[in-house]
Amino acid sequence: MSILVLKNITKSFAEGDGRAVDDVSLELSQGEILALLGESGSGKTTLLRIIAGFEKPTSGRVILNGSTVADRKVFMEPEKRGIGVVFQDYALFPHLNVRKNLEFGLRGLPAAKIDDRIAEMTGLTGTSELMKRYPHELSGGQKQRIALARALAPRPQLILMDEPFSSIDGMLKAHIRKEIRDILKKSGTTALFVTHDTRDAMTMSDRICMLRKGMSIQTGTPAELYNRPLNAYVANFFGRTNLIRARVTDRGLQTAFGLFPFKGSEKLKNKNVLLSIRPENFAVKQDNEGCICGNIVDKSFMGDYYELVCEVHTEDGDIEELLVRTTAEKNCNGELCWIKPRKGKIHILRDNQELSGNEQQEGQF
Amino acid sequence: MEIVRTTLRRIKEEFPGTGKIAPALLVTIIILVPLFVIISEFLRPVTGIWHHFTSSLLQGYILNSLLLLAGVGAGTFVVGTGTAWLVSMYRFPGRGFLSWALVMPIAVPAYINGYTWAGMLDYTSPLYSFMRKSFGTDTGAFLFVDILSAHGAVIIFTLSLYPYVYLICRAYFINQSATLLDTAASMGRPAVYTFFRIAMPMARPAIVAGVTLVMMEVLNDYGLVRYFGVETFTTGIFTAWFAFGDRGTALRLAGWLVVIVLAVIMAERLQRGRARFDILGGSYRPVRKRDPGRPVAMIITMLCSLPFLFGFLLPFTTLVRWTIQTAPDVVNTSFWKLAANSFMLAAAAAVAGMAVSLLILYSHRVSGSKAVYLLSKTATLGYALPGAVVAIGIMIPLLWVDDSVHLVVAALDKGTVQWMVSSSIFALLYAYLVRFLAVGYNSLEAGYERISKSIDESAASLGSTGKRTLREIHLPLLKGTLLGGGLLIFVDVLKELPLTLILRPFNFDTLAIRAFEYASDERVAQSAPAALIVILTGMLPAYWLNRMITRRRRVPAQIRKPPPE
Repeated sequence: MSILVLKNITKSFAEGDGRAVDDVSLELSQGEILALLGESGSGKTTLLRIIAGFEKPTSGRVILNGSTVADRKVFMEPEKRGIGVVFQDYALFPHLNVRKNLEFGLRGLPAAKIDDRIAEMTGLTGTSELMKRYPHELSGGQKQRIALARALAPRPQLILMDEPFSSIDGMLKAHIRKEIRDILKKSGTTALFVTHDTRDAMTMSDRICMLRKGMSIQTGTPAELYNRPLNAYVANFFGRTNLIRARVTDRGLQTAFGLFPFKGSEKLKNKNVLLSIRPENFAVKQDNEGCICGNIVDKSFMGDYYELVCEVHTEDGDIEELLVRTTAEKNCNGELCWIKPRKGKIHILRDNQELSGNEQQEGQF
Repeated sequence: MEIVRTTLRRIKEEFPGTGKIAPALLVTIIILVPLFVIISEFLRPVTGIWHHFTSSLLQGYILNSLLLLAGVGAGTFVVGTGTAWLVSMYRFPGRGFLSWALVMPIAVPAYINGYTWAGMLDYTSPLYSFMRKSFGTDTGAFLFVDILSAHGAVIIFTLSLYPYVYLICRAYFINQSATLLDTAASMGRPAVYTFFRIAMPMARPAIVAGVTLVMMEVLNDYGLVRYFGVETFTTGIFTAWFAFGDRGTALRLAGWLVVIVLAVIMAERLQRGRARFDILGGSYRPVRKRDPGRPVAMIITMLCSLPFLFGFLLPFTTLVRWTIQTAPDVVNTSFWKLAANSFMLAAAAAVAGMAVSLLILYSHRVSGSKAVYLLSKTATLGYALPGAVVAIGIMIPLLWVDDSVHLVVAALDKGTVQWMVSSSIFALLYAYLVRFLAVGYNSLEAGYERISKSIDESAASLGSTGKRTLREIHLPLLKGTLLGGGLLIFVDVLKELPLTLILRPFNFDTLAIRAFEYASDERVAQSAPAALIVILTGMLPAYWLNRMITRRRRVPAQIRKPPPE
């Protein structure tokens, strides 16, 4: 059963302004963790605020647990929605100690029940010794756990988190991501969080919804978005890749680098397509059989692998660059290398638009 | 009734959220009434004895006002920036004490300072006898004659008002980039060069803002100029209103005064441009204080002691001396009743001011309404309006209300009504609200700015209604700000003179009025107990403002008025 359904949500802040959120539809099922991923200005935080009830959608419908909470006619105030929110700045009440902060959302419950609930939340988040402290006496990680415990305490149907890891340092981050995912899964909470960091999205979520310029461009599991991006933008956002034009023929994919083996569907036959091949999906070899030959023009040592930039003389007489990876040092000591796409690792983008120069740079590598 | 109810419902449906902002809008509009009255009257054709004023008096008013503005502006600029620079940049004996002692003259209203000095230089005063014995007869006479003049007023205003410039500049110098100053020093530039070529240009917006505040206080003053016999717009308003009974002329003078005030504000805006000086610097490194060497340090100590000595210590000790002399006669039950009157009035005004500020700012926060924001910003202009102007602007509509009530009652043949709203405590409180709203509003706005919007939203997401958020989150977090802002209004009301003189109910006196009346009756010593209470109360916020600057390293919102566009 879907906890949250968004239907064609659109938001523009002022008449004549562009759309901050543009016709986004989404479903979230019980217990699922979904990441809204995008650059700044992609509308992800606006969408989160619409779900929470801090903004009204210009059009579209928000359905929470089967009942409409926002559309053209209906608007349910945020305090009635039963949605927990963890803010980027945690927004702990500075004049209340941790225990009072946790109690804030439990108004109306009998005292014994409040005690139980707080014990449960602090047990879950490992914060039981912090009850007497005030927010300014907590570390960043502690604040975040308290903010999460406070949001979880009233047992919300859904929890929303705005850039939950943006103020946590690199080393600690991996640990906290895992911890929070565990807490959410243990308590069976449905959660939606906003992030601009692909690593946060991939490690935390069950599914990712990728937003760009207010539009949802692809929704799927982290592996789907990484391995089978719909277009060049998504492919680039999830790491570096080689975008190569090709034509589907009977013998395989005809590219400027030669023929790549491919068993295509009938549908694509004789069509021009755009391929995305990630650097690790090229095999770097010592022999030249069936391989592309490239000049190594740049070599970077990345710790557990080398990244090579190779110049290749194409069949049209141009020079093009390919980015490849190898773990073997001996492969990259010479001036030349031989490379070949790995079997089954060639991905055809459904949307064959190439990115303009500056759009490519926007993506994260 | 049915029609009204339907209309209200229609409005609610057409403009959702009106219910939330309606009270705030209403209050703001009421506060704006006096300003509208003055402006609309200003645009009407000339009547009454105005021609008499233009032919004989107006020129004098303008000249005197300009002389005061120029003189006091220059005086406070030199004393304020100079002391602020010395205190912030140099180590010298007594620096710690002087850094806050220099703020203290702000607690002495200019008119009290003025007649105390006049009394100190009186023919019979100890100072006069001392001068006569030491330097011969003429010295004292020269001083005495000279002080009761426009020049004397400039000196007294400077002594009382320079702390505005001092406070703002001090906050600025404490926060200025130490790196920049060190760079100048490392290039072998002398400290004087750093002061004139780097620190001053950088602090210019702050300095001008401080001087602007001073000028508004000068235009507001009635007590000092009246006592010193300097005819200005404020005394002109009193003459037209009380001596000639000509409302039209009083209003027209008030209108001209508003024009001058607006010109001063505009000038401040223009020079400020896009410069900001209220919240200063991200990373902070305290400025390294220089050691000027023994002889220079002594000179600095002396220089910095002078404003404190003349602006506070001498008048204060004199007032204490006079109080000891006259207390047995003056301090009786009626005096304590008077004090209680004043305190109650000031407390009521403080509570009203903070409550209205809270209403407006809370409404704006939850509704985000532009209308509330713009109107309330305009309403805070009241602080720039001289007290006499506010009083006239309130008197006119309230007299109209009284007249209408009388007409209606007479028409209904129900006898006569004794009570008049135009000379009631209500009118007085209304006027204080108009004049001092900005004081509370600015404090509270700064307080609200420190509460992140996400605090409200997280309370809402935890099921809290707007009212509960206000009660359990906003109020506890704003407690200090509400008290601080209230205290400032309290003190402002306690020492307020021209507005209270015009609007007070018959036979109703405050400490400030009693002190001023005694002084005007040549019984300066008898005025001391009342004056002393006003000064002692004023020392509380002076101390508090100073602490805020040195602890939080920012210009407190309360001295950040002049109000915005």
